[in-house]
Amino acid sequence: MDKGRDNTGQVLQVLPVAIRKRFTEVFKDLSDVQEIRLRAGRPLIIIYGKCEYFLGINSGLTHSIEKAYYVSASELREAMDYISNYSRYAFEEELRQGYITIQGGHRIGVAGKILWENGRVKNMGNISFMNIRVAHQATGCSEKIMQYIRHGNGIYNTLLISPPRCGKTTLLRDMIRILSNGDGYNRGFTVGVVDERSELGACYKGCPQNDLGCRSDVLDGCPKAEGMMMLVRSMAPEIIAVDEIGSNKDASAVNYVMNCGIHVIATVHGLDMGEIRNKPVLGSLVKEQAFKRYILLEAGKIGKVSHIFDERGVVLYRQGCIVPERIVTDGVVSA
Amino acid sequence: MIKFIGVLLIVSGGMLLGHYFAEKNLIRIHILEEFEQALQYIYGEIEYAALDIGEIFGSLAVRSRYCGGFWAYMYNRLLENNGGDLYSIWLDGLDNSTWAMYLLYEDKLFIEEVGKNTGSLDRQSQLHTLEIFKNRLEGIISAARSEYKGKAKVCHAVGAAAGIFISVLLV
Repeated sequence: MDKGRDNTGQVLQVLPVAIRKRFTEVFKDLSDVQEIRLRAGRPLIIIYGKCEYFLGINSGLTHSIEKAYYVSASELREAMDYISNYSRYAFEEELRQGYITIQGGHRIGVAGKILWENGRVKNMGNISFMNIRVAHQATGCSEKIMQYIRHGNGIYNTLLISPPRCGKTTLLRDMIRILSNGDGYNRGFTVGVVDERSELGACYKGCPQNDLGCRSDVLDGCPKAEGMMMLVRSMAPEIIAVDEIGSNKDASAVNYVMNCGIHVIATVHGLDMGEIRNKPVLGSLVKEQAFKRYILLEAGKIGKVSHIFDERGVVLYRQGCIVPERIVTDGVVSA
Repeated sequence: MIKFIGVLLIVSGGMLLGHYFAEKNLIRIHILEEFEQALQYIYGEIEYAALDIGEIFGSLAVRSRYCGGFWAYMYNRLLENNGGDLYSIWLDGLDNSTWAMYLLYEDKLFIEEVGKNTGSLDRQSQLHTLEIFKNRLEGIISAARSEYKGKAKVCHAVGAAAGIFISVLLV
């Protein structure tokens, strides 16, 4: 699995000049940096490896707050200018959501004074907190599970289930890449991706910054249900991939897409199959056996597949041991 | 004969000088018209595609005749992310622009004001501000156009008169 990517230039470019200079003295590249946190009047914090450090006032990293570099409000304004390319108006929607994706797929979370109007966030001003999350794409993390979702010349409708922060989006992104590219044995598919929160493609100016393969079309920032319909009508996809389905509209759109003969790969929040079955909207899709494969990720462990089930709940894969595919005849499961 | 040629040259020189000042007014109008078109373009790009300002300046650099260098300077400086807000970069660009010498002091103040109010606003306010600037610029241009003919006549007449006056003095 390849986790490497040279993120230095793109992330450094949005840092204020004084901080950028210190960073270039400390880091050759930012591949091991997870987060950079800037707060007005507070020390600059870097999550490096799995540890937290302050940026030193002179140079280097430190654990001592007395020796830390403090970020000023004007530096945050400067960073905001760079992040928004001096065009605050162009990032209104992103600011409303609380994050901006920059070139390279890095996501910058922002917080400050919220302007509230008619029951919704209108805009955000006085941005005083910033969290730069350096993007790391885990290429190849889904290779082992691809055999369970492919069949003949097609794929099974698949649902990825996991609690938050267990890597389901990362896994879905890699599945999209593999299915789109194909390989020596399997042809590539035209994949339509509805990326409502820009998490799959991390699009910057419409171009995915993450590798989603050569046959993928991405609808960025589009609501899932509408996006699925649009893709069916406009891009003739063979597979539609969508992250975090949950609402009634999403479920009907998934149903519609499946009825059009298009395969669906989706993710959903959940701990286990029982929870998914009991969800009012998704439960009906499960009961109708709309999805043929369920990939369950293990809670608390990032990217670990714990089980793979088929539409009848038969275990095809269990972590630690591979269960040979079973044959189901008239509802009776035999090995 | 030499005196006659001398007088002719001095009078022609005076007339040319008058013509130069008249032309300067015309170029000022052309520059302001081009700037008005640029404001309209910026407005359209923000309204339709919400493109970022650097990209818009990049496109303007290719489209503009007089101000192309200024837009190209802005585009390159904004790409650098090397300190300074948009307004300070805008002022630097204006200082480095040769076309600015054709403008009046009030025109320069107006253009500086445009730079001050670009980029840092939300979309609605940005469009509204651009609309106001367009209207103000329209007023400036129509005033300049209406004054132009009179001014050109005065420039030509003053140029010729100055030439004749100097010739009389010298002869």
